[in-house]
Amino acid sequence: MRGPSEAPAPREEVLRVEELKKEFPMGDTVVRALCGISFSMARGDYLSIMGTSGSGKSTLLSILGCLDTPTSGEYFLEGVNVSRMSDRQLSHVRGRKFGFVFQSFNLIPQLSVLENIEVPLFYQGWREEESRLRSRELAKLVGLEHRMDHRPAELSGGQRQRVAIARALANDPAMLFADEPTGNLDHATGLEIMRVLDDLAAQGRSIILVTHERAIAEHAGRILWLQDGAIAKDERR
Amino acid sequence: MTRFLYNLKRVVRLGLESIVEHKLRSFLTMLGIIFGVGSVIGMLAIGEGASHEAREQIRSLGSKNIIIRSVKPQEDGGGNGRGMRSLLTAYGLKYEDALRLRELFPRVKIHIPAREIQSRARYGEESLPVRVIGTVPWAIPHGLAAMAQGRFLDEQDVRDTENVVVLGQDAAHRLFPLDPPLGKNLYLGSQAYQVVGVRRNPALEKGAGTAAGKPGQGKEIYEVYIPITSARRRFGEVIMNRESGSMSLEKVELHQLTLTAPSEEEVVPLAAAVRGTLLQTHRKTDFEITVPLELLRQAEQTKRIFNVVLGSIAAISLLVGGIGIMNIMLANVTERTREIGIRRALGATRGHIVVQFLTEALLLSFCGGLLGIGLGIAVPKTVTHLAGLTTLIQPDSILLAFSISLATGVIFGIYPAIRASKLSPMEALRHE
Repeated sequence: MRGPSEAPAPREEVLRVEELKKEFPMGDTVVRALCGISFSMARGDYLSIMGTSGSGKSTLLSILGCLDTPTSGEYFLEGVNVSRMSDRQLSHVRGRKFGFVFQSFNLIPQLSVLENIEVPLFYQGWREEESRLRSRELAKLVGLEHRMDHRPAELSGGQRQRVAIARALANDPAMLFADEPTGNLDHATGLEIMRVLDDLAAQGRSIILVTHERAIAEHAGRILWLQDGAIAKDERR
Repeated sequence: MTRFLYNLKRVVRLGLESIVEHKLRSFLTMLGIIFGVGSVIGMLAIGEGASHEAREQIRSLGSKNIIIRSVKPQEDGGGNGRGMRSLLTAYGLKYEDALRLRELFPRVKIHIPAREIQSRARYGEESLPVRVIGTVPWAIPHGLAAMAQGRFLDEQDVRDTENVVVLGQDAAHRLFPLDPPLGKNLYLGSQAYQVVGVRRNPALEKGAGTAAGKPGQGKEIYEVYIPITSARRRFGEVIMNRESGSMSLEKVELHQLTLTAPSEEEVVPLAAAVRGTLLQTHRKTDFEITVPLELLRQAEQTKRIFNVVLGSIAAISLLVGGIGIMNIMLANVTERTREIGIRRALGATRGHIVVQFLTEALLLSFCGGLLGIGLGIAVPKTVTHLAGLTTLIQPDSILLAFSISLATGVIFGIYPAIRASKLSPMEALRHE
C-alpha cells in the first residue's frame, strides 16, 4: 500500500474516456444509456459520479470498471486503450488494476472473511501463504481481525462492506470503484464506511464513487453530474 | 509444471469445499449418477447371469444331441364315451424305433437310458440286494475282454423280452460261490431269469454306456443286466393314473432316446430325418423331439433381444440420471451466476470459471460413479445371496456406465458454467 509520504504524486492521468456510448436493445427500440461521455481523471483523484436512477451512472461505472464494454468510444487506462481488449485481457485488467466495492457487498457466502479477501489474489496466482498473510493484514486494516474466520452471513452490514473494501484493496489496485457503497447501510454505518474511503483517498488512492446522495458525493473532491446519459456538470471543489 | 500441479491442488480443494458446502445439492447430483451407474451394472449382471445359466443348462444336454421323449398323444375325438374308452393306453417310443433308427443312421450314437431297479436276487439259499439294469446290447461294452463267462444280452433277447440275465462278477461270486452260474435260473423279484453270462468288474465301468448311472454307490451294490424290454415288462411299464374316480393305465416301452450326431452341423437335418422316420410308424404324434442346439440358438437369439431390451432400459436410466444431473447443475450454476459475476469482477477469466465448475462436476461425477459401481456390484451380490440367482458382473458395463455418467456429469456441469461465463460480469452480477 501507498504510504502517506508518497501521497503528493505527480498529477499524471490515470484514465481518460472519449465519446463513450452505450446502447441496449430493448425489443424494437434501442435504449441509449450513455450518449457520449468524455472526461479524464488524474491519479489520486477522488471522484463522485452523481445522478438520479436511470441517469446512466451505474452503466458508466461498469464500463469504467471493465465489467461491461461500451457500444462505441475509447477508454484509456494508464495510457492503454482498453476498449479494444479481449475478455481475457479485461479480466487481467480487473484483477490487477481495479478494486470494487458494491452496494450489495457481493461477498461469496460459502467463503470466510479471509477467503473472500483472498479471491482476487487467487486469480493473480499468489502463493497461498503469501495471500494468507496479505488477507490477515487487510482484515486488520479494516478492523475485522476478530472476525477473520466468520462467514459473511455472520457479519453486520458495515462489517460486510469492510470485508468488501479489504478485498478491493487486496491487489493494491490503481483504481477503486465504489458503487453506492452506503446504499444498504444505516446512516451511522454509512458514515463509517465513507470514513474508510476518505482515508484511502487521503493516502492517494484513485477512487470513483457512484451515488445518488449529494451528501455522500460531497466526500469527493470532484463531482460529475450525470443526466440522461450525458455529463450535465463537472464540479471541482 | 509444479505451478500447474499447485494450482490444480487448490482448484480441487476449492471444488471439494464447494461440494461439502452444498451437501444436499451434491448428494442429489450424485444420486442420479449412483442410480444410473448402479442400475446399469446391476441389471446387466442379473440379465447376463440368467441367460448364462439358461445356456449352460441347454449346453449340459449336449449340443450334438437330439432328445426324443414319449409323450401321451392327444385324445382323438373318436366319439367313444368315457365308459367305452380302453382302459390301457399304449403309446410312445418302441424298442423297434431305436432299432430302426440305428439301422438307418449308422453314424449316429443312440443311447437308451438304462432302467435301474433296486431288487433282490435269489438263488437257492443265497440272497443279495442288486441293482437290476434294464439295457440294450449296444449300450454296455461287452466285448470278449469285458465278459468273464458266457455272452452278453443280444438283440434277440431284447426283442423277445427274454428272461435272461448277465451278472456282474461280484454278484456272480456271491450268488454262485460254488457252482458255475451259466445256465442257472435265479430269481429277481418273483420272476426267474436264466444266467447267460458274467461280466467283469462292472463297478469300474459304471457309466461307460448307460446314461442313468448313479454316482457314488458303494461296492456292495451288485449289478445285474437284463433286456430293457424285460425290465419294463417285469418291473412295471404300466403307469397307473387315478383321476376323479376313474383309473387309466398307460404303457410306454421307452421313455426317452438320446441320439448323438457326429457333428453339430448334422444335428438339425438329422432331427428332421428322425422325425420323418418316426412318423412313418407312429400314427399319432406320441413323441417329442428336443434339439438342444436349436434351443441354444434360440437362447442366443433371446439373449440378443434381452440385451437390446436391457441395454435400452440401461440407456434410459442413464438418461434419466443424466437429466437429473443436468437439472441440478443448471440450477447450481443459475444459483451461482452471481458468484461467477463476483469472481469475474475480481479478475477471474472465463477459463478460471470453467475450470472451477469442471472440477466440481468431475469430482461429483467421479465420486457418484464410484458409489454407483459399489451399488452395481452390491445389488447382484445381494440378489445371488437372497434369491440364489446366478449373476455375472460385466466389466464392460462398469466401464461403460462409469464413463457415460462421468461424461454426462461433466457435459451438463460445464455447459451451464460456460454459458454463465459468457455473460458480461455486469450481467452476471445483476443476476438474482
